Amino acid sequence: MIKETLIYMGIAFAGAFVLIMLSKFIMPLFMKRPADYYCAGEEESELFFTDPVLEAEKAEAAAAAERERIANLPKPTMRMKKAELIELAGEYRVELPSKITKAQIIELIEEKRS
Amino acid sequence: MNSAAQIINMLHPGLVMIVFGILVALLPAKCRVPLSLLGPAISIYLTLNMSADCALDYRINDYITIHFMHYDKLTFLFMIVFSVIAMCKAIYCINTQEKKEASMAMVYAGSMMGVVLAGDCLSLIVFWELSAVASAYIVYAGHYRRSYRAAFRYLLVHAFGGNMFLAGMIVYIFHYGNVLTNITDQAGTPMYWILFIGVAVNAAVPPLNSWVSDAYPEASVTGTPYLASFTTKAAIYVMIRFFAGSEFLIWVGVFMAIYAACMAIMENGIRRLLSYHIVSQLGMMVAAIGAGGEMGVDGAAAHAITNIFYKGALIMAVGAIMYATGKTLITELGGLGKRMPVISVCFLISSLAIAGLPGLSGFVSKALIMDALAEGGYQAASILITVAGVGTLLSITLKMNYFIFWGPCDEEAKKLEINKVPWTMQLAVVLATIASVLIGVFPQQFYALLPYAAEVNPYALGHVLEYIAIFIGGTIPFVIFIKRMRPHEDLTLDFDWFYRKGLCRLVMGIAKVTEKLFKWCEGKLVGFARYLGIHFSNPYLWTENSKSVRIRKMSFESEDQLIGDTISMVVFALTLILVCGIALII
Repeated sequence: MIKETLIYMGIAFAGAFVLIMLSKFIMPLFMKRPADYYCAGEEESELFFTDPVLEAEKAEAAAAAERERIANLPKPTMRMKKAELIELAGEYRVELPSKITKAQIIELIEEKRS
Repeated sequence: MNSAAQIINMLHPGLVMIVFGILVALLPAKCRVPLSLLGPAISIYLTLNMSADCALDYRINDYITIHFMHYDKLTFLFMIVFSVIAMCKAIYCINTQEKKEASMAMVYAGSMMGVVLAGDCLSLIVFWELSAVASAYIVYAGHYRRSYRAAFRYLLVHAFGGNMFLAGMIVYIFHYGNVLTNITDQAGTPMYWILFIGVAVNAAVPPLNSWVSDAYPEASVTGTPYLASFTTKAAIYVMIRFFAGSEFLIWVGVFMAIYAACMAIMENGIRRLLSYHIVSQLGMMVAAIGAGGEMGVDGAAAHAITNIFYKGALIMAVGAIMYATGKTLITELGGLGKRMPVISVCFLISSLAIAGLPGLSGFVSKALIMDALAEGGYQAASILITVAGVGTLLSITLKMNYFIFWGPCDEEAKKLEINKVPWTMQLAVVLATIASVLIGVFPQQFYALLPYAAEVNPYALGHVLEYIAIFIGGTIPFVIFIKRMRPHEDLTLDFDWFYRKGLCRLVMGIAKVTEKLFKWCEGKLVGFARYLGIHFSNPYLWTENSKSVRIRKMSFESEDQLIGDTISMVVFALTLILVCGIALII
């Protein structure tokens, strides 16, 4: 009985060794491909149809990210030069008319911040 | 027999499930849960009260009557397990399933019960085809782009399998009539092979296996457990009916078991890994069917039944993990043992059962398969099946438990947010696990349910020591190669390459060659038409450009040009008359 048990243990050991060699060293040589092998070059959208709930969630996430980005931008002050204020307005994504004063720029940026 | 018993004997559990499935689709959404629980409950009741007198016949004409129901021990065994597992799945899906999917899942389960209960070939074909359509919808109900694509491929593969099965069945009915019987003595005939290919598609016999690992992981969390329980097991049932004792199946089964075990060791996706294990376990059943005899049939049936429970528990546990974490890859998970204790413990028990640990169901059913192979004198096959079992130990019991539940995990896995798993999901996993334990603890009661009531003592000391030795022997290389056992994140090619890439390239190649051929023909035809046009409009060219001196001498240039014109008019008129004449004759 002990002999048979040892034989089975040997079979299991050798079998496991062979399976590991096969599946970890030999088969990957010709069977491993990039994860997107079958769908390379396709659009990233996972859902086939537009899911309104998912779209709303995405829009909300984008708005939250935008709010966070704006909160991290410096506040405009009258001490800043006009050129600096115009640059800052660009970062705030505020559209400026061609003729504008510093106070008006600050007002528009504050409006965006609020 | 009283009238109540007569009515019960006429009620088809599969059709009851299908009717309830249709009701789920038609009635308001709030009816889904009670109906999806009531259907399997009635099915269990009807199956338990079924007798040999059961019959549901539909007479088409004087010569053809369809027998939808047939009862014997094999049918009863599969029916009761299908009903119980359908109930488990219904419980699992209470909180999460959508209405249409629930409806189709019931139709699917019902049609698979119809396959098992089929009393003749015609009813078998009807339910077989119905199940393919219903299961394709369940894959589709994953509602992701890749689910739709996988469902389409699934439908194509099963359309191929279904048509082969139908073609084989037509020839079979011509030879044997409408009754189901073993056709091993017809091995080598076209009918045998066509029928075998039809069944082999559903039984996932390589190279027809890849639809399992392609489609099952793409269904929803609630869809995959249904898919994993029925199609392949019903195919095993049909294989037992038709092919028990076909010796080549032993080697087919051995190849299936080892090939799929190797694929499972490589695999990273948790549901793909389990899908490969379905194929590996089916290989063991196919080998037992090949060994044939009473022990072989009992072994295949027993392993199919135990597999439904422990594989059901594993798939449902994995679904619960996906539900809780939203992750599907082993490399994205880790350390879930303490965070999801119920699921983890059930997964551990079921994974030990699938590897054949003494005391659990896998051990009890594998014992019959090994005995069947030993009785037939197939020692080499027996050893190879043992090796495949070691593959199961490596890929599920050790790899999945270590990397997902109990082993060390990286920072990302620690930060993973775990959603609460509904108690119904956990209950279903626990019930399937308990069934595995009960079968393992009471093997004789389980054996008594088998078609030939095998008399084997799986708990003989020598046999128990063998399996403990297999566990120890298989674990040592895992520990040695533990770093290499972490799965790679790439895709592993399977036989589906042949129809996803190979067939695509072949079709594109044929299209390109055909296009070039048509362009060439078009060019030649246009050239020929131009040649004819030019020469008919200017008949002098016939003679002037001729290589023959005699013809050139006949040139019209030196004669009256009217001669040439007249001749060409005459030729044109004759051609017109000829064409009109032919058209009139036709």
